[in-house]
Amino acid sequence: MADKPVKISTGGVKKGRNEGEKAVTANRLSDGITVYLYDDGSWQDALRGAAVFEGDDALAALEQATAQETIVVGPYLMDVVQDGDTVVPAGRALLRETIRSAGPTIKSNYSRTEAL
Amino acid sequence: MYRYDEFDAKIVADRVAQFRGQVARRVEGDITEDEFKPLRLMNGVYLQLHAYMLRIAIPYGTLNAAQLRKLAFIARTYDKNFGHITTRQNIQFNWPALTDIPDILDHLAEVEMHAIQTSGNCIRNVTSDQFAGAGADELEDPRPWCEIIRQWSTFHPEFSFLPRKFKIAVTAAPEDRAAVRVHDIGLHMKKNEAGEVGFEVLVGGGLGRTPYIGQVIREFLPKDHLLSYLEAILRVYNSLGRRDNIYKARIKILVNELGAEAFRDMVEAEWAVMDKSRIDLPGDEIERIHAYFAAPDFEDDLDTGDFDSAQKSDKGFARWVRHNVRAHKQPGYASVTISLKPTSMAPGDITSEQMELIADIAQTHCFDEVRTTHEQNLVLPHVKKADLHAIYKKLAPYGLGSSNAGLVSDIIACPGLDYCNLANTRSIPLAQRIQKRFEDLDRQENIGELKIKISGCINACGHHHVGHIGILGVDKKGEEFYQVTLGGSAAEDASIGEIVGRGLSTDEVVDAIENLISFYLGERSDGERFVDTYRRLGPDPFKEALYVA
Amino acid sequence: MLLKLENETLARVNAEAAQDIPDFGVWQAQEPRGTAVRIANDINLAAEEFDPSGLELIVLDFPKYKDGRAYTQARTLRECYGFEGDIRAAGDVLRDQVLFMARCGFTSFELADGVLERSGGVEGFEKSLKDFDLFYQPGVKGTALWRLRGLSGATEKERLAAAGIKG
Ligand code: HEM
Ligand code: SF4
Repeated sequence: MADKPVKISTGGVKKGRNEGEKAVTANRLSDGITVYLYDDGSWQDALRGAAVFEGDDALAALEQATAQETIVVGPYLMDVVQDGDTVVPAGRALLRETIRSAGPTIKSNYSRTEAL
Repeated sequence: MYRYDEFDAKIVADRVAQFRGQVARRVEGDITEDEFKPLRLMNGVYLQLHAYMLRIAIPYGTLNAAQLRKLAFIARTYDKNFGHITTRQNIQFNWPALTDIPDILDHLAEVEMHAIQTSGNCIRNVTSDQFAGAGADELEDPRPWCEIIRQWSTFHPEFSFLPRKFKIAVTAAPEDRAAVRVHDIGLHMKKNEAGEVGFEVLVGGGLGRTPYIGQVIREFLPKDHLLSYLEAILRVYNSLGRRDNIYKARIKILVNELGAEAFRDMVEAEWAVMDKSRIDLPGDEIERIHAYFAAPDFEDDLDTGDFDSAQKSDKGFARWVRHNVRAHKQPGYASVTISLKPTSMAPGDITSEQMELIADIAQTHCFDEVRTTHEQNLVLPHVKKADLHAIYKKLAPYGLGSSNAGLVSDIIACPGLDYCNLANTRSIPLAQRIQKRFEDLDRQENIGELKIKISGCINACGHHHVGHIGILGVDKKGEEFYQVTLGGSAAEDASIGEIVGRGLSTDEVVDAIENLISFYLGERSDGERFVDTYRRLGPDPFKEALYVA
Repeated sequence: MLLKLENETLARVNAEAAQDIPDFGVWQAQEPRGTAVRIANDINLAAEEFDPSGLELIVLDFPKYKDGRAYTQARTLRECYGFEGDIRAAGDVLRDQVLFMARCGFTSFELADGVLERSGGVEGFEKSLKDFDLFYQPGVKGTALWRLRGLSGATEKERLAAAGIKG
């Protein structure tokens, strides 16, 4: 039996463990907009094309993101699943991450690029 | 209202320049996020789920038309055309870019506004009665004292890094509309036996994780000594307040761990040795500040115009008068609550167009004055009765004519999971569903005064502990659940609501609220509000009613 | 790395580091007592038997800059004990707080490694020290604005300073 996956912050005050597929998410320093880490190392506002990591790769990606203090604020690993070509939120924080990627649920003209 | 002199203006301008420099240093990497976060918070800048949020101070809830127009301009230029009135009488913008905030602050400074100390572990915006200067029941206008506290607390060198945030509220009427009993310090202006007006000082109230009602530590504080006494309280708190656990860092915990008497003794000891004459304002400065709050030039012997006849011909107007119009101390005048709780809007949200309309009305009809309320509405404090029908007809087409002040649909809700980083559940959509369920105005009127307050997590920004019906969002394995509390109040009869029953799912919660209200309607005796019936019957029958299918 | 505040300017000086200065308990047991002491921030000076005569330096600590107890300690030392020697801020001392510290009676600032470099040097600290020149409330340093408003008890010198700001 392998060691238990390490504890990680999963956004807000919530904690979880590093299990399963992860994307790296944060808020952009300059305008606070929710962003996701892509394979080419860039940060983009759409979750759908985000890079997906597992295990130690996820931790390594998070560590690199954390060093980018002048670009993003508060990076952490979120649970995702790959659905065909796109990446969508998953796991316990599903609702929170759905709202982060799509915008508030209360008025359509506040929403972001991705529809709920 | 208070107007800046060149000194006030210089301080605010210096603050903007300072913050501009701090933002630049952060963007360049000279300061870390850990170092920057408290600096931005002390200027009201939070990071939420989707963007930054900027909270702008509206000292004791008083605004003029030029300020409201400037807020409308900011909403339109830097945000998504709306702002949000908070439970501490401030306004928040939900979408500004960090790099735009110094410019926004420059715009605000032009109309004598700022975001100073709207967050952070410092003394926050002082709040007060939204009917200050208008209510027939008040001893005097409490706002000059709020302004005195505002100035004293601004960049206080000793009290800018307290164990936790610190909130002060002041009221001068027996009916407590400023919730002074749930503040870190509540100041209730009262008369002593000699007939002098002073402050009853309450300490240690607060909501959040562990709610407490404040305790009186001084029955009567002469007005002139307000600042030195506050300084003594803050000094004891800064020295002894807990710093090991942020959930135990508020003054309410210190007061309860020490006991109110021991705490009072420490404050009195500190106060006794203090050089009060250095801190307390001299009489002429107190007068200078009071002069800004002189009553407007009310007219005598006013004709009420079509006020009576319009209520007969316009039923909507009559209903609005019943719920949103309040008696004024000056004959011929009234105070109006403009509800920001129409069905299907986020409670407290206001668009740029609405702000501009209200600015126009304030200028034409209300001595250039508007107030914000802790119940997330606006108030026109002094309007002529003869103008009320015309005002109503201007407001209604803009969605501002809701006749629900104090009724079941006048809900306080925190931003919840639609915006907030700490949330368990959404609050605004639940508020909207409750409003929809009780949309029928006759039904609302029949139910009478009922205060529903919703928080999306235990931090209690939506004041659920002091709602007649409080709703707290909890996370059950990633699902949204809601815990109901009953019997709370933030008014002069302040009490903390009791939790009833298990958490309810999103599907159950609106039905459960309706069950509670139906039970109340069946049981109430004449003139009883929901909370009165609850207090008479106790929680058990209400608990049972909650789950009736 | 120590900065000393004298005549409104900051200068780098060499001095013994805070960690080498005896703490409150050690100092109290000294016979005779030394001229310097380091006081932890959980010591409530208002409640202590404390005689600062003979002391030239008191070091107060900011374990984290958000922990603001030492502000009250400094003011208590100046205003209740009448201490006139050097009060040094040590620990997490950053340029954005030096003005608050100076206003509470601190006169020197011990910086951790690297802080001065990323703060724009001594000039950066001095700039922050001058972020404001008007204050609403009295401090150990800085006159309360209400005295400058020309209404109560302002001296001629203070009025002139205020007029300079107006111009
Ligand atoms: C979305 C960003 C927000 C965050 C992150 C936030 C965070 C918090 C936290 C952590 C507390 C608990 C503090 C404590 O118990 O010491 C709190 C309390 C509070 N918040 Fe917020 N809040 C937010 C928005 C708001 C809004 C929009 C309002 C007004 C509608 C508000 C009004 C309050 C009030 C009145 C309390 C009362 C607790 C008390 O005084 O004891 N907050 N907030
Ligand atoms: S109560 Fe909780 S969810 Fe609501 S705004 Fe406050 S911190 Fe956020």
